[in-house]
Amino acid sequence: MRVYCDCGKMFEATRAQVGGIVNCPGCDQSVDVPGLNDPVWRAIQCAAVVGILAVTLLVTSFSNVPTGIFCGLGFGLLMWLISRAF
Amino acid sequence: MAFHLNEYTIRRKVLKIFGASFHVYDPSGQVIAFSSQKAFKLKEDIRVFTDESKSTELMSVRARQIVDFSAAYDMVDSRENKKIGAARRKGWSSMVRDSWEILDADDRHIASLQEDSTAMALLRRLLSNLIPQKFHLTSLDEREMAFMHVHFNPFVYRMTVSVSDTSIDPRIVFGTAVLLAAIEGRQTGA
Repeated sequence: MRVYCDCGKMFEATRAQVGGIVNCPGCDQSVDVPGLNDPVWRAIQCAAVVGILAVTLLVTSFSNVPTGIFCGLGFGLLMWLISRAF
Repeated sequence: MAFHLNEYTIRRKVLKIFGASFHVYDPSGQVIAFSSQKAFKLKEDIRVFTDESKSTELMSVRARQIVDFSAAYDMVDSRENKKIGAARRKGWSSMVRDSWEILDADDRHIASLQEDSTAMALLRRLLSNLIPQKFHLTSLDEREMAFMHVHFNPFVYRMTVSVSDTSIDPRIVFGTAVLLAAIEGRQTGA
């Protein structure tokens, strides 16, 4: 997992450190490691994929394929934005 | 400074609706720190301040994951903005007897924290908070570094921490004690 510090240094964090905090090897300040390495997080990711497919199929059945894909991608973007909050 | 005392007591604030709050007292009864858990956060986020005004943050303890099972909690010295260590719950063994691994800033195992005995731990799980919890913080060579014990009080959670070995960073002991008060206190329903 690549971590980017505000000091400009890029370094690798281990899988166990995902979602946690590490000290930057460049400036020795704490940096958040984005993401979550969590069973619940995996379930949420699976639910998001199922949700994207469900939204795409649902909108496609009421409208047309491009609108369905557009709405599915919109839903995926929304899920991604929510995930950034963690 | 709160971190460098050899003995202090953590007391849960009563009548707090959202998130738990704790006062930390020195042996003379003076408040030396105030800790509060952020409410409505998916991941545990515990902050320690110098006092209830929350103007000066001393430390933060944050979970890496949502689920508490085998969760690791990172401790950051807020004044230096530097990670000082972490505590990782041993998921399966903690089902019977609470066990934690204490890690340094690079996630190396430096000490262990355990409930006093398996028999007592089992009894506590059956009798809830009627038998207060006791924890021993030991080095990898089984040397006792600190002792934490919860006082018998079914209504107010109060835990005293006695540090006997200063070779471990006192901030890690402090953060671990605050974490235990927040996590274990909630488990026992105190």
